[in-house]
Amino acid sequence: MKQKVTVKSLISKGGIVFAIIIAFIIFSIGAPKAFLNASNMVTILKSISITTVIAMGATIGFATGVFDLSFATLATLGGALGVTFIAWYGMPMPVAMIAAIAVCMLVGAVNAIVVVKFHVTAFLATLAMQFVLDGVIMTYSGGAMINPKVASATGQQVVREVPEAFWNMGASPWIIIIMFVCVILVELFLTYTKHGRILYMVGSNNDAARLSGIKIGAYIGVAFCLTAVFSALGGMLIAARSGTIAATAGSTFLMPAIAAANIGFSFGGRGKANAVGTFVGAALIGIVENGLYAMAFPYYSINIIKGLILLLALIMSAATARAQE
Amino acid sequence: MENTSRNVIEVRGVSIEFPGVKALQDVSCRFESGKAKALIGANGAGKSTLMKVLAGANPTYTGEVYFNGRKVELRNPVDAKNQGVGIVYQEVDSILTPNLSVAENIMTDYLVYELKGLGIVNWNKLNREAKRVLDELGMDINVKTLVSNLTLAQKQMVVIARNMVQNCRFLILDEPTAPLSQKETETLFDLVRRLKKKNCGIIFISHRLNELFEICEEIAVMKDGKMVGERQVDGVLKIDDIVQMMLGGARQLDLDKSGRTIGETVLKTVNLGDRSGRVHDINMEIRRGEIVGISGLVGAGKTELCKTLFGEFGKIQGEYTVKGKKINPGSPADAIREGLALIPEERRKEGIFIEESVNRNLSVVTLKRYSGPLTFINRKKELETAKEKIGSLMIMTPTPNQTVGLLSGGNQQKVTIGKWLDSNAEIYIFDEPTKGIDVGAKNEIYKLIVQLARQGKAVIYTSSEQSEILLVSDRTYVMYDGTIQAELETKNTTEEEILFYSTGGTKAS
Repeated sequence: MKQKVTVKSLISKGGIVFAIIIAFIIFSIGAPKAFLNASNMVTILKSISITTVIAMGATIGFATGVFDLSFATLATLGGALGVTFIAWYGMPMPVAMIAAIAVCMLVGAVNAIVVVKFHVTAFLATLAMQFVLDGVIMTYSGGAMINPKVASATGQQVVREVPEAFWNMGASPWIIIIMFVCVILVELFLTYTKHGRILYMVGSNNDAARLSGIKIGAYIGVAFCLTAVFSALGGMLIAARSGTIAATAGSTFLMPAIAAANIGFSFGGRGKANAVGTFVGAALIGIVENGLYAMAFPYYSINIIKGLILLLALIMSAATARAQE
Repeated sequence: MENTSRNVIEVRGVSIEFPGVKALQDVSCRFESGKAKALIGANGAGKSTLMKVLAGANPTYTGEVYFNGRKVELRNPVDAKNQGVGIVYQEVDSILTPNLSVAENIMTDYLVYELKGLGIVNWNKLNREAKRVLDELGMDINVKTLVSNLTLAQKQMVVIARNMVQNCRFLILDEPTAPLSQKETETLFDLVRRLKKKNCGIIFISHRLNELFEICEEIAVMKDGKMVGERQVDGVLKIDDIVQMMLGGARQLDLDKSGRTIGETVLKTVNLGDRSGRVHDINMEIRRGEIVGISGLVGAGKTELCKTLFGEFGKIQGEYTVKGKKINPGSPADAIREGLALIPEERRKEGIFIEESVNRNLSVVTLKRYSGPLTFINRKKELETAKEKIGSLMIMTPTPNQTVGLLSGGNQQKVTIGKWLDSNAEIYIFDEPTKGIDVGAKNEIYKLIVQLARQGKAVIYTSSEQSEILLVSDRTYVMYDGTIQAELETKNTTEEEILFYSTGGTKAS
């Protein structure tokens, strides 16, 4: 019964960290000039920051055992609202950001009600919500890309200039700092607070949780709303980085975020979604992507490698779960 | 299909051993077509194991099985099907395909094995055949309905019809009436009578003795994996005779229950029931320091009563008073606030978080106590409390951080109990707490329960084993069909009496 330190347990606990080290070594040898330098490291961190922030929401969802498929589209909404609340409706930046987050949380609450009160599977409920949001965003933007510097397709005039502070969020070092703050906050919340613990308990066995006196409906609501917060924030980072918000801006982060969270499951042998693991997962994908570019790997083939990494990570966490049975 | 000559199955000296358990020991029995034979015995007596042998689901048996005098090997379900043995398990849902029609479900064999060539289904033929079988059996079900829309009783009918299509000569019914209403049971019995006329042999497993007298010609009694004896239902045979056979010479264990003071009433119900009628007209009363048994057979509504009391089924009907206050908990959280604790029957599914550590399992109910500013958990305090609980409950675990799923059943149960120890729970509801636990651990659980009662807690103890109720409780309510059939003082009662009421017996006033 005693837990021994074996090669197997070491791999299953620190597998992703090893993978990162190995990737580092390979790319350092393969593309020593382009890959291994400080500015490239910053580039990697920058490249994974939005994925990581959005994936924090997915992490909370996975921890609670709900699969939210709408979080990436919600990011588009958050970004679109945040930036246009300033430009088209003249709200001060903090107010606009809070308002955008609030609207996204409301969507999260609707998700939760559909799942808890109407007993619809989270995956399907949020699949439907994703379509609704997509339509809402298109309607809001008049079917065009949102650019806060010009009038909208629906005739909204620019009444306020988006401040420099907003654009700064999308540039280093701020975008990297925001990412680390998010990771630390979620890690503290999930691992060290009562409510985080309860989210894990609900995710682990909701029957036992309910019979232990936990109001699981409320906590599933909390999970959806917190997911929405990070989606909204991530969306605004997208807007800040690229200056515009396309209708598909958020959904390109859906798969990378899910992948990062799942790769992170096995981090430290935790076997469940966790903030640090998600960050490490995102970092692994980021490093591999960056390194392959540096080694002049054809960009159109990079997804093959990313997919294989995710597959490998899933096989590993399935093996860890089986070992616990 | 019509076969006028009698078919006979003979089981001779069949034994089965599972790791650590002799599930069947040298069992011999004879089943004839055209008759219904009941097979009864307490839980774990070996009835289902024996039936699985006949159904080809227990390939490792030793001994011999004869069909009409010819020795056969029943090493897989196809062997059994070839011999014409069909079985209707309790969980009918697991055999039917809910998204297909009644006809498709009945004609599964035709669809799977007989459809040759391009495999194009002749729907007219399929529906006609299925309807013919249902008509023959006198069942009124639309063959085009999806199985998912049927009631449980109708699903049973569909499984029986499917067996008939497969030229079944012996039909095993494993506790078919447990989930059925009175009326549905009548319908099933009509069907059984019809099948007997068609020269089909029925093997009927049930806990409800009075039913067996109505439908069966013979009753065979099993106990601890052995065949105790057989009796003809001849009008002279009484429920009491069968109860005697079922119990045999049961030995009485000993448990020191001294050192308790019985205090005031803490829980009282008047005509309590849940909204869906799973339990109804429950009148019970429990005092501090008292251990009250809820006995009754599987399906009598014991678990449902526990969950109703615990708010799991939502608001109740009737009156429910806890510690002098009328309550109506809408959720377990509400019930816990009133001072209740539940140790559920399905331990792995409802009691513990198997992937989580012992430590985290033990603190789940009382997390509030360990959380400080911003709800950060005081992990040191949490761990210390966990260690205390592990010590006082004697939970065998290498460290408090061990995953609970890796512990033995008995230790998992202790963890389930442990999570309530530092809560404000004053009424502990134990639902079959010793199910699937080895003998040594059972005794420790009994002692823990007595210990709780000594501390002035009120204990509700549910079990389908009469001997356990006699051992643990001061008083017991006997349940049958969702309500309380009798209230008995433990010291003035016997296993026979409990079993009598459990099987639907009523006071001869």
